[in-house]
Amino acid sequence: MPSLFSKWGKHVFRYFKALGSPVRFLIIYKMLDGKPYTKNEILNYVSSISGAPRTTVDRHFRTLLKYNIIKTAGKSLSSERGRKPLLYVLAVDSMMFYVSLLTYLLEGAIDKRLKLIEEGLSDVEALTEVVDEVKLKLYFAEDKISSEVSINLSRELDSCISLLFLVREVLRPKAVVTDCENAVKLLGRISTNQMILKKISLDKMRELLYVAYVESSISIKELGSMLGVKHLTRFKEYDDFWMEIESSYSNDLTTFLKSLASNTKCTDIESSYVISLTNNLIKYFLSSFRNHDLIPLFLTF
Amino acid sequence: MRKIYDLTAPFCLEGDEVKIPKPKSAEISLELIGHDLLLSGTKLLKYLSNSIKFEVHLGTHMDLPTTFAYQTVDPVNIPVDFFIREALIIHVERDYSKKSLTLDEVKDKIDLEEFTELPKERRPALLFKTGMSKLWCHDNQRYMSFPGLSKSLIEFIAYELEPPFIGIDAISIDRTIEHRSLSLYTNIDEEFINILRTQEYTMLLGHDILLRKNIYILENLDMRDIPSDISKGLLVALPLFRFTTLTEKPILITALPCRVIFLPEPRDSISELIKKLRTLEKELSGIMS
Repeated sequence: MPSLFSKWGKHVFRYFKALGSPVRFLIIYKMLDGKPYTKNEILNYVSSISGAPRTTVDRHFRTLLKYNIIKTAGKSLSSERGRKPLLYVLAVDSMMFYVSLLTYLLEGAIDKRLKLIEEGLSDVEALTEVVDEVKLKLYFAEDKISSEVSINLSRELDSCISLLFLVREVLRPKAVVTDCENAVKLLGRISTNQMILKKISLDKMRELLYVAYVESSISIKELGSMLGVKHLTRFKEYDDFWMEIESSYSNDLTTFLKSLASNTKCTDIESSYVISLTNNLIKYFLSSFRNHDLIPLFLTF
Repeated sequence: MRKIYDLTAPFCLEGDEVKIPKPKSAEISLELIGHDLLLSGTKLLKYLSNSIKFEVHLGTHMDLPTTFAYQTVDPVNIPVDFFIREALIIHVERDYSKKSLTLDEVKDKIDLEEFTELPKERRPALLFKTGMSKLWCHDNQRYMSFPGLSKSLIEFIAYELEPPFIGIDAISIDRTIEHRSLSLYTNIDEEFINILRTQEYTMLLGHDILLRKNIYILENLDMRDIPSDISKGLLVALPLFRFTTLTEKPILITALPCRVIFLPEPRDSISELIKKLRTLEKELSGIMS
């Protein structure tokens, strides 16, 4: 599904770019619950939590509006002066936003978009500085803050923490495996997860196993002993060997991966085979999963 | 307005003489001096000034690794926010005429997670209130006979907590040694530095362990006024001087005399907010690491 994926990717890219500044991050964050807010509510919230002047927040707000990240949602009830302030919401629902973000980050974590992850991290760094600044201000402004402001700020901080928890899980993908124990553990998990196995054809699996065979330069003999195949002398070529494997496992990936995981003794050469195979499997899965597969995937993994 | 505590130990004056706890060989002097300014060739203008000369390791100061010639840090480049950070105060007031401060006395009072959950540069400073500061200037001899912190406590700080710096209201974190036969060297050459680097610091082991780990030591704080129910707050420990170098040659600044103030953590709802900000900070640090 490459075409669909890149279409999604484009959306995600836009939302991710929107997080490029801590102020925009806070604006979006405030609106993620899908409720309509007036501009005033958002400006108050963001400028109180970040310390940025309202005019700055307003500029970021208008940028988001211009690129259709947020949209107007009608008018609220009359305010004191009889005018009806406009309401705004995020242009996509929050679940879609999170899923897009997850996909985007997971894809980036594996290969080409590491740089953007780095940028994301520098945003986090900027946020940390905001935290520092707010903390410092609170130390010096004990008498000047009304209980109303502190209660509101406190409520916002509560929900901010859970959002960050999610982001942290995403930014720290457990995908790139570097040691044999983890690779074996992951292979074991993949072998028991039907939802994942459904995504890979036997042909693709054969290809990935061959790549691992070449990358690790393991010999047919060593590979055979790992898979419990006897009479190894018969096989001179990898293809012959593989045909034997396929027939002995009757094309059943589950059992095949299970026995691979349980027979590995993690010697040097075995390790490099298992690690290469696992990493390639992960790369393949991540590029073939669609967004709405991700949530159940996270739940089952 | 809440009370802000001044943790800087004062220079106590007796006439022109400065009477503070110090080793005999260390010099400190305050002089009143007069100036004659010659203006436009003929007119003289007189005014008064003071000249203060003192070793940087006297009074409230922060020991730097340069003291033992570990050049892992250049004091010229420490950013100013390093000196403004949250601090925990551990209350360990008792009679220190004999036994040094041990890990057992302190361990229950420290929450390890307050340190380990944050990256090293964002951790709070750790201050010990031993109660020794009531002797500052009043009984300098007893003040000087502080038995120090035990090795296990120092190692716990250096390897488990790793705060950016620690502070204490006592003369040193090591048992104070007799300074009977100290000589003063003014010409520091390569050879002196080499001897310094290779000697064993058995008598100053605490300093050695912490400074090797780049954990600075704030000594001679004045914590008399800090009540026992205050254990957390914002510490501003600003060096009195700022140095910069105009040549390539490294400068060996071994300690920074500091002006130290302390704002206790606010109470009620604001303190709740600060707690939440701390949690947020931990989460953010989790993402960064």
